[in-house]
Amino acid sequence: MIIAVSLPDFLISLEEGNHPETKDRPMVIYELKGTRRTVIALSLEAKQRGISVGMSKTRAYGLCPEVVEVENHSAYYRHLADALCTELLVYSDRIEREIISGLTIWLDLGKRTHTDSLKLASSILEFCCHHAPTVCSVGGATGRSTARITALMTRTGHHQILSPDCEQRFLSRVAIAQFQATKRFHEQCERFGLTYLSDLGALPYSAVKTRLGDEGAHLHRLYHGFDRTTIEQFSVPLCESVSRVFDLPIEDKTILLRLLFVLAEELSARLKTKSLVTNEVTLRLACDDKSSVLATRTLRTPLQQTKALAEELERLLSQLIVTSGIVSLSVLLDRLTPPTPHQLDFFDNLFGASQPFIETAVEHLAVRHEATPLVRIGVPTERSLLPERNCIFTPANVA
Amino acid sequence: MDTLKVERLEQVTLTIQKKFGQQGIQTGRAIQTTNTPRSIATGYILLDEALGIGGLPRHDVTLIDGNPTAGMTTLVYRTIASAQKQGMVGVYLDLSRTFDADYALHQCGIDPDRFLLIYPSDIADGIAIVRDVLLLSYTGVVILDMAFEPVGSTYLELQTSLSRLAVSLKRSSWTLIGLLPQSNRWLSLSSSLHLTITRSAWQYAKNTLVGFHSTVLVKKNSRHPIGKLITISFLFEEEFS
Repeated sequence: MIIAVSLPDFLISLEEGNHPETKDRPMVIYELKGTRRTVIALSLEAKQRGISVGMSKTRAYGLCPEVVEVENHSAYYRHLADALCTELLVYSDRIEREIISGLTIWLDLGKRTHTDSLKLASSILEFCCHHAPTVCSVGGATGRSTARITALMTRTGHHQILSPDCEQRFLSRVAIAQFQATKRFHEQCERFGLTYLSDLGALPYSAVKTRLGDEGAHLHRLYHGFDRTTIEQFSVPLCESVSRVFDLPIEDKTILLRLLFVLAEELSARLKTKSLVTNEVTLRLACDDKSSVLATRTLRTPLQQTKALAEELERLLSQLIVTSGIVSLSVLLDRLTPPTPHQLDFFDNLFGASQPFIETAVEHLAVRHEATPLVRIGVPTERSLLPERNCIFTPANVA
Repeated sequence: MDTLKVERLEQVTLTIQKKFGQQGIQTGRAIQTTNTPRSIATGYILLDEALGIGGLPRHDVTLIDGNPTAGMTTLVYRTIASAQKQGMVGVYLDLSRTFDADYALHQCGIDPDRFLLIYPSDIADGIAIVRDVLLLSYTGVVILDMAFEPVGSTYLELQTSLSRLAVSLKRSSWTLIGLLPQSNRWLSLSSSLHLTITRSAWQYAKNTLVGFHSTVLVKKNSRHPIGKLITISFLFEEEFS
């Protein structure tokens, strides 16, 4: 049984939280595709003015000149979605997520009875409604796409689980126009008089494949229950974050820069402990007027060192426009990976190498100078009264 | 160079840096101003200033000689501590068997986690170990303490070995400091800096001996005028900072 959780207003609700000044105003989030900017998420007010997902920026402005444009913070959405998926691990370890205009999360519950699945779906719905920033609906079926369709067709705040024998009956009532497909496909369906999925499913597969192409063939397979795509195991994404909340709003840039350096130091120490480097840095500032701004930067070369991280944060800070005092600050290091040796980083690594020095040196020297005493000096926790016994000499080349 | 050429050069530099990172290509001026310091501070400001480059030269051989209790080892311990503060590591080859761990750690501030003490059997063994230490991929300082080791007739071999090490040091990330019992002009040839330390006076406070003054003579310096005499004071109870 696969459960799909649909959060259609995920992106817009996050941005509405970041920009309270845009309340009751039409708001859209664009995505840059080549040179074209298209709408990927929009508020209810924007929907009421005729704007829809996939529309170009020019057309959206033509329909509603007062529309507020918000930057697409994909790294931030991804991080929050991953955090939600991590919380959902209590239900299943097979979880996948997809962020397009909203968020969809799939959970593979394995072989369960219909009653068990209903109970779990109810629990998942309650959990998501409590943890997610927006309303959601839950759908369940034996296949991934069918579960998603069920979730999308269910009213928000409700759940619906299809038993295997009634899945086809459910799908037969789904209108083809509801599927996101090419304009040509929808025109062809209209020409052949295909309104519902059952109309398409009644036709032979070869005919659908020839006349309607891959999209038609996919829907035909879906209707006949050939939806066996499995859900992959969810691995908790590696990221590091640190945040600070201030009692008094900070307005001094010098203090802010100093603070960013301290945070960079903390994050760098964590990365060094785990032997990881970051590929993406996000800085988020919450202001006194309840608005928040954030900037993300995907790095050309992965970072780990304090100085480099602090410089990157300083660069992000200079990009942000802050109109009032800062009440909280958070830094997120995303897309953490193990460091890969790079020829140009060789000299950087030489200076202050992170491996324990004594062990490496002894390992190297003991091969050729076995008889030579290599000594490690230690300081005891309790100091002796005799000053000459304050340090402990231990042979370093003895295992 | 005319302005157009300079602009083109900057353009090419920027393009390469964007593609291969900041260290992909650098102008000589940038390397001089941005890269790691060329010297290791000794911890004594007057001496650092007198040496011209702010301390003992990196990737080179420095020789220090002087009479016992003149402050040679203190100077070296402080240099190691200073190098460790810069992110380097320290290796001490104690041929004289006089390493005072308590003084080095508690008074001079050496970090034991980034410090290795080695007792070589003789000078030849010491030189061989230094050669292997230079192959380690760390930035650091190696001390070859021969302050109480009679060099005797082996100084010619030692001079040859030090000259070879000086060549290896240029290509490595290490710095070598040698402590000698007495001044030797043949050995001085293989170094870029040679200092002689002599204790000049004891220092008292309310009839209690608290330290001593020493004069440091710069006998050889390949980067700055020589012959300077600097007086530095060593205090017994001085806490490192």
